[in-house]
Amino acid sequence: MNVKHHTLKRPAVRITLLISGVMLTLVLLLINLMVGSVDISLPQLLNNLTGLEPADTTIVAILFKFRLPQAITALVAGAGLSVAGLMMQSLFRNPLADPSILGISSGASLGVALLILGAGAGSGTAFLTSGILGDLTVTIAALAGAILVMMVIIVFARTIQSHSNLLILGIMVGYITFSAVGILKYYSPREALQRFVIWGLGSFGEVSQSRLGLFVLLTTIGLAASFLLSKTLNLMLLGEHYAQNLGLNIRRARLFIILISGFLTAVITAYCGPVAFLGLAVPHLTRNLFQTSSHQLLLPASALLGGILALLCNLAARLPVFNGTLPISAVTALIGAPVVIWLIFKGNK
Amino acid sequence: MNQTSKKAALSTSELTIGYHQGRQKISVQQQINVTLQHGELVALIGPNGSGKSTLLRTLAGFQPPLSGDFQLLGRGVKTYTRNEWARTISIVLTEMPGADKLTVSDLVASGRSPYTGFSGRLSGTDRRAISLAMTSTGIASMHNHYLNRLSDGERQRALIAKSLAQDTPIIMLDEPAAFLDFPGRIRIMHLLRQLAHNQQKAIMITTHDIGLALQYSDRLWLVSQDKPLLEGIPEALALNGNLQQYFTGQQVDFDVNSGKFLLDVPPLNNVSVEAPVPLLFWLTHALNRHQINVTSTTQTPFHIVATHSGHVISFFKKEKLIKTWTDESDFFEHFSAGLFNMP
Repeated sequence: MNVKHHTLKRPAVRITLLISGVMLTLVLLLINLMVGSVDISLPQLLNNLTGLEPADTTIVAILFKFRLPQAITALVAGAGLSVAGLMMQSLFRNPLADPSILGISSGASLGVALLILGAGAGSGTAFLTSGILGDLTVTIAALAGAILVMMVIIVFARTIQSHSNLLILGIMVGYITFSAVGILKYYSPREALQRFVIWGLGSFGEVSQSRLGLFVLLTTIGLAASFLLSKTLNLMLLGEHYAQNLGLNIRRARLFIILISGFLTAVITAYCGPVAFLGLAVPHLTRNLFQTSSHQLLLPASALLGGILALLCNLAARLPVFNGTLPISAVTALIGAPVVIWLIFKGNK
Repeated sequence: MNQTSKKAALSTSELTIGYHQGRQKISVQQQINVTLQHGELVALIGPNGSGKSTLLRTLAGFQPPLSGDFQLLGRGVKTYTRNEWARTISIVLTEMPGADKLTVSDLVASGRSPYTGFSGRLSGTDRRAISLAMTSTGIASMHNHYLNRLSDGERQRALIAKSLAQDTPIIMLDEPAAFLDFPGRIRIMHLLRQLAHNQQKAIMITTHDIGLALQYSDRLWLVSQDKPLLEGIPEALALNGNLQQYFTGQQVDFDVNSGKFLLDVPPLNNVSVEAPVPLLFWLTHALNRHQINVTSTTQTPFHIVATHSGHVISFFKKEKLIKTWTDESDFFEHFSAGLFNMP
């Protein structure tokens, strides 16, 4: 091992990585705005964004009604899910943990299933075509389901000492909600079922311009709160006993971690549906890329990398060859998994 | 000497330790009264299941005592806040913080947590404490290595450095030598003794290795399933028969002459030996391997004599020469217990 070499270069490499990450984010944002069913050239884009020249109303409409909200949703959701996943991995000291590990996104599914499928089975399909209002109720249902499960987990977390028992418990709660969803699906009419399945594949395109502000605000609050936990997370990584011996109140720390990670997951799942893989893979990529376990760096870097990956996936999902937009959860894993596999092989050399 | 170092670092009063099983209290050791002084290395030794870990876990604050109390630096533990506690006792456990990409300096820096603010930002004092801790444990050159790439001994040193950075008057280590190779054990024990003696740390370790404990600790705490905890100086405990009492059983006996634990079987024969050092030690050693006991001249008709020059070794029975060996290698190769049965 060339240790001296590492010592000298590591901080410089990290700063370079962070700066190029920010630049890449900006570039990807622009490309996301340019590419789609109607291609917009860079001069066109800049003119319409800055309003220097008389704007083209069609292009303005496409940009501000669809592409910009979608790109920002992707950026924010990617960042939030990655940070939520990182927090779960550090809490459970388990690289396989992800934001959905405690059943919080299953809770969101259950909420939405009760709304779409339950309503479908009961009062017919009139409700299902109610447009924006319908979307808002879906968001609220998902949020309610996710927060309900989170409350259950937190009640358990107050009485259960062992982290691994809590983990098992979260997985079990996930299974129970999953079964409940399964039963609802079984008794549902076809149209309702299809709508639920589409929700379940996730999308960054469902957050409309008018609702974007609240979504960004909530996610930003979650992200900011997570950054306050970097010392706590660093200690958690050492294991319960060492953390406790270093003065950490384990139960309170665990509560805060679950609360903030759960809040991010709940909000993002409510607005975008369950987005797979980002929350699992991005923390790995970040640790490997930045070669650190310190959350002072890992938290912002995961947010950055998560945003980049989500923008990349959002772009890939809308490539012209697909003739429309692919569901985002399908694309995230398709792009992300090979990257993780490549990293593992690179690490083994 | 300041006020705190005159007081005991840790003292227990009528401390009963154990665990809860449902609503039942299962006590492992009752009414323990011991003290741990500044500047001493204490080894807590005893067979498996005698309550070593329970005592360490209780004193480190991981589980409450069943009854009784203990004081840290002369103050009852119940008056300590989490943070004060973290500045008073540090621990090194057998479980390793095996986080991916965790470097030695990250780990050692974590020792400063009780002193840093909410953000965990390190001050100049913190950085000095970290680098000093790594220097005094001899891992400064590895500060940038990942913890899960280190050898067991290096990792143990990194953890001890974390404890030093934590700057606590008391350090407790659970089986610090357990996974180390032989030279590694000696080096760790030597390091701990130095920290106790030079930095006035009160250090308590648990260990299975009685030989190591006898050799390096200033004081022993003996525990056994059916006997109360007993503290004392290693040599005193050996001579007054307490070590024998606490560890004899299952056919193993503490031999007060050699300081070793031996299988409790009757010797085949007795012999007296006369030889220069270090030959005397190794002749005895070889004879013991053949189950021959070495005693004084008056108790046996058999006698072995090695000359000072050339090491010719002779075997006598009632002052009659039975056999000679040209040198010690000849003796080690060809000695057999059958000699004692020759007419």
